[in-house]
Amino acid sequence: MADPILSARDVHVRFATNGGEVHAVRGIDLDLFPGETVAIVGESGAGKSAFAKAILHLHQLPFTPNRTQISGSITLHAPFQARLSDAAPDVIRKVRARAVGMIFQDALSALNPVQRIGPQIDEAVRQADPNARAADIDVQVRKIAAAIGLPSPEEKLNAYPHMLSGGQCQRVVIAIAAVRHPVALLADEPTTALDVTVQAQILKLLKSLQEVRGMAMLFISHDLGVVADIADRVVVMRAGEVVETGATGAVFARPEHPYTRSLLASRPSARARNAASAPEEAAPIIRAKDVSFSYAGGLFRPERVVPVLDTVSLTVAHGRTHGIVGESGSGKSTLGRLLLGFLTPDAGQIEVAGVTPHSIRAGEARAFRRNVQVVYQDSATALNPRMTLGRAAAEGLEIHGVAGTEARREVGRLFDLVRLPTELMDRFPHEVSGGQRQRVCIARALATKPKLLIADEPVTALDVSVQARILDLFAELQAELGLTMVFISHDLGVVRALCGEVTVIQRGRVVEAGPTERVFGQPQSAYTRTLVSSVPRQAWA
Amino acid sequence: MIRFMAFRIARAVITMFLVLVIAFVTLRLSGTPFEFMYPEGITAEHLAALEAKYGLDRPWIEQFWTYLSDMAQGNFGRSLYTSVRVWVMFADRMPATLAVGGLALLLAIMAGIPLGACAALYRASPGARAGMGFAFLGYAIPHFVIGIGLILFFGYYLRALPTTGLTTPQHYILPVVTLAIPMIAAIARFMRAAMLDAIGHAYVNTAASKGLTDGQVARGHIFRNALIPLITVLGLEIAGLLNGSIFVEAVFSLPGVGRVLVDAVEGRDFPVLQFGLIAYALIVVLVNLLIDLAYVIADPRIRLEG
Amino acid sequence: MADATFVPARIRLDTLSLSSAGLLLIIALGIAAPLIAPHDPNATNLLARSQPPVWMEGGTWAHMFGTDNIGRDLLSRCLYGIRTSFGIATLGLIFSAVLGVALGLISGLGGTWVDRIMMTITDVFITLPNLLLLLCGIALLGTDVWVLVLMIGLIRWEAYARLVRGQVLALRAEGYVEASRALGGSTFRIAVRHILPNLASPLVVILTLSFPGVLLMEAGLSFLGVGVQPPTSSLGRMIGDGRDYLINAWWISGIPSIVIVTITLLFQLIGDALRDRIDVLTDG
Repeated sequence: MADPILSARDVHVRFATNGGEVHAVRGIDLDLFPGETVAIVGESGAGKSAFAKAILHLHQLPFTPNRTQISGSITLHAPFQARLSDAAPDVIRKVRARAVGMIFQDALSALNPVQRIGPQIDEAVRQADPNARAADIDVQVRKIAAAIGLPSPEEKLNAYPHMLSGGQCQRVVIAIAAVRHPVALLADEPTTALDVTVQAQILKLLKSLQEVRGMAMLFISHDLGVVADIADRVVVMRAGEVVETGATGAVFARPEHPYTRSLLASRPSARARNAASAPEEAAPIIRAKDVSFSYAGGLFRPERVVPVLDTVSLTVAHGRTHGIVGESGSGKSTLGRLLLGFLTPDAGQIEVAGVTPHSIRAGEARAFRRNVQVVYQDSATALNPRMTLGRAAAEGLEIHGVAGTEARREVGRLFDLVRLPTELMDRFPHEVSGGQRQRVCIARALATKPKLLIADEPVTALDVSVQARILDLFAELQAELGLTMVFISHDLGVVRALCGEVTVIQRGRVVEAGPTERVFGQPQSAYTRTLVSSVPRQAWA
Repeated sequence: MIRFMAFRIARAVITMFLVLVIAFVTLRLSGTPFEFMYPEGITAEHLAALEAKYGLDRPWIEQFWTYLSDMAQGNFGRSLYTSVRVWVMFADRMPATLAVGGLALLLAIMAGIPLGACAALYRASPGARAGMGFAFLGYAIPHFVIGIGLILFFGYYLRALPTTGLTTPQHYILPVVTLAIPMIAAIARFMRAAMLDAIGHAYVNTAASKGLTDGQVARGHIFRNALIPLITVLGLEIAGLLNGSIFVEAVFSLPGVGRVLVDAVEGRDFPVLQFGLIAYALIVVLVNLLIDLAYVIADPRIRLEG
Repeated sequence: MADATFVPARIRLDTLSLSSAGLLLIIALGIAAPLIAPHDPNATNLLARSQPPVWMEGGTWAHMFGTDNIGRDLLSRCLYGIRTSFGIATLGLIFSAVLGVALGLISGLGGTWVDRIMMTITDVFITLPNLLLLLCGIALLGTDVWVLVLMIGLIRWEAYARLVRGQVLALRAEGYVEASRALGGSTFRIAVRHILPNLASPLVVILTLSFPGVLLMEAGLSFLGVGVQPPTSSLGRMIGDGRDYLINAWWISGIPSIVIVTITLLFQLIGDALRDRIDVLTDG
């Protein structure tokens, strides 16, 4: 067994904040061996990011007062010996420049917006080897640009970051880190903000760079599926402590610690939720045919029409749970807004609950709004920060004529329905957790006893374990209330777990539709196949 | 980029047109100059005859057109008091105002930017604190008070510098400093905030992860990004510079345009006033266009997206 | 989070309360001027002219801040001057705030075309040179107090209109506004329930921040001689009048200068502290 490149012993990280001291990392021991991929998993707040940043002292922004205290020892063994934990600034810089690279989550903002791509990579090379000749640096930059798979690299090297896509930016960030041939790469949630297909490509890139350069990788993620795919060993963290560690396969198959077990059990696919069984010949509640929509250019650029949806058709019968799946930019959210009548289609017909949503007459409007409700992704912005949760949930009731004590009683009943303690009725949105806020949004949506509930990425912003519980809630509500649900998401695992039928959208077109098991099990279109294969396999387990 | 600039230019043209209209209306509303010419009284027929002679009984649109064409030929009217041509009055005095203003601008940029930048980078140092304290004071206190204060201190207490007029280079020192101080303060404060904001961005972390020294990070990444919003602030400050120069000229009795204007207000000398309005507006509009251009050039996100 | 002030965090809260207290004290003194001023501000006393303040040689307690070149008591004039300046500034500010908020609401809620027209108008207004327009207006309409209020009000409204419009547009896009629409809420309900309450606090902040500017505008005009006219006293006017006596009687300009500086510094402290607090709040 070779010697480790990096070892950490009893590392503690403490931040001084306005609210007191935060003990983010409580005694981690870790060894990183050459060429291996170690994943640190945990939910938000587990301390995984804090630990990774502490290795390279990157928690500390330059020119900011130091509020972080690191204790314990972090030692670099290769390519040269260096004690990182209490190292002098120039030692740290040397390590950063030549030995260990780091990549972060949001790639676009990780790049300097006023500097071209080429010089940004250039800077990294120059720092690693100040004596290098300009010509050599140029060669290295081109090589890495090719290695990371940038299309038309010459053009891209000359471009500014805002001209590249999210995936391309992440490739550049990886290039900046990898161009110096570091022995280890610290990756802090590098694919979390990316689409599933792009994520798959980036992971492949990282793997290939590892193989070619013998680079070790410390990969931080909250996504168990990704971890299962790429990590040799896994370290499970919770509240700053290591809860379990071992070879990935072993830990995932036979988790020992109860937290690990609950984490694994929270994956959407792991729950057997019955897609609602509805009478076979239920009447359709949504009928959309050949709907097209585009964003008009505006006064100064009438030619810049942005097509969003192109002849999309959708049929959802009463009582079903229908999933709309697509990546970012596919138009799925726009479809949701069209169904709600917030947008008017350029072409095609839409019929929801018996009316055409975008051209309702005043008389029908109230009934429509009672019958068709929506739950959004970001519960923080979906609730007025100055309204108590109880008032917020009661808004629908108030609009439709129920007020005062009766409304309050009804809200109490709704809170019970969504499994929220009624004391929360008098709290404000920022005082409760994301999961609780989302429940309030669901309660608000259910207040008017709708027949149709449209949920636009309702669980994307939540931690895995919280997601699981909200999805359970959706399933239970559907069974209890006989709701029809349209579930918009980019997360196939979630859709597969909850929805009986699914429509797949790519760039504004319906690519495939039908019963979930069939569409995901035997996909017929190439895109669906790519989508399914991009999902880290453990998600399907 | 073309689109951005085209929009700005259109707006500038509209603004100037509006200014011309306002100037014209002001001039006309102020009454006819004949009461001044005949203070002992004037008969109604004589008034009507004079009005006809000067074309003041024509419809306003026609008068406006005459007004514009006169201006195009360089005729801006004459002062009601001195009967000197307005254009001449201003041309004589413009250099002084522009000189003081220009020097103040230069001083403000050269002092304000480094002050703000260092205050952001070395936040806790006593130098930064003192600098920001100075900026705090400079921002709050109005021009004329600063001027008076400096006159008292340097002019009378120390007897080191001249306090009235602009005859020697030393005469420029106090007025330029007075005019510059609030601007230095504003620039420094803004620069500091912009740099602190830039520091918070992820690309600073990326820069650090390359192993760059703090200085390299500051120069290449933080400073460059903080400069961009600064350009817009500069535009606003330059407009304020014109305002301030009126006060500074009053305090130091400088032979500039500001004095002319203040006297014109007191004396209701409308031909002078309307020209002042147009001239100032033109300067502000042109400066703003230049600033817009600079902004477009500096920020690639705007430049390459049209 | 970037902090835009150099005041150390620990004492920030105290700064806010101390400055506010100081400012309120000054305002109270101004309001109470008729009651507490030791002399009639316009009473001339040629025997006691150009008397220095009490802490200098030759000063007396009868004229604590000294007298000006024609014997008027500076303390009384300052008190009345505070009263005048604050009065004009407040009225002017209220006028422009009402105008600005109304136009901003119309612009934000009125639909694209209304918005575009309003925005072009405000853009043009912003680029017009303030002071020059003020001067023209005063030349046309005279130096009546009401003219000053009107002109000052007309100069600043666009800042408030922009703010209100910006807030309205931002709030319109907020999730809870759309959720309210989804629940069936009308535009009126949305405006009243969701938009206005969220508008109040930034509006208060920006009004507080612009007050000193308005105050100084009046002071500046009076300094130049085209603002408040005698016999009404104004701090700016006093400074302007005393300019010629700086050598021998610096206090004629100096005392009112100190008063103005104190007032604006207090405002500045309050403004910075307020801005910090708002930042903290929006960070959640």
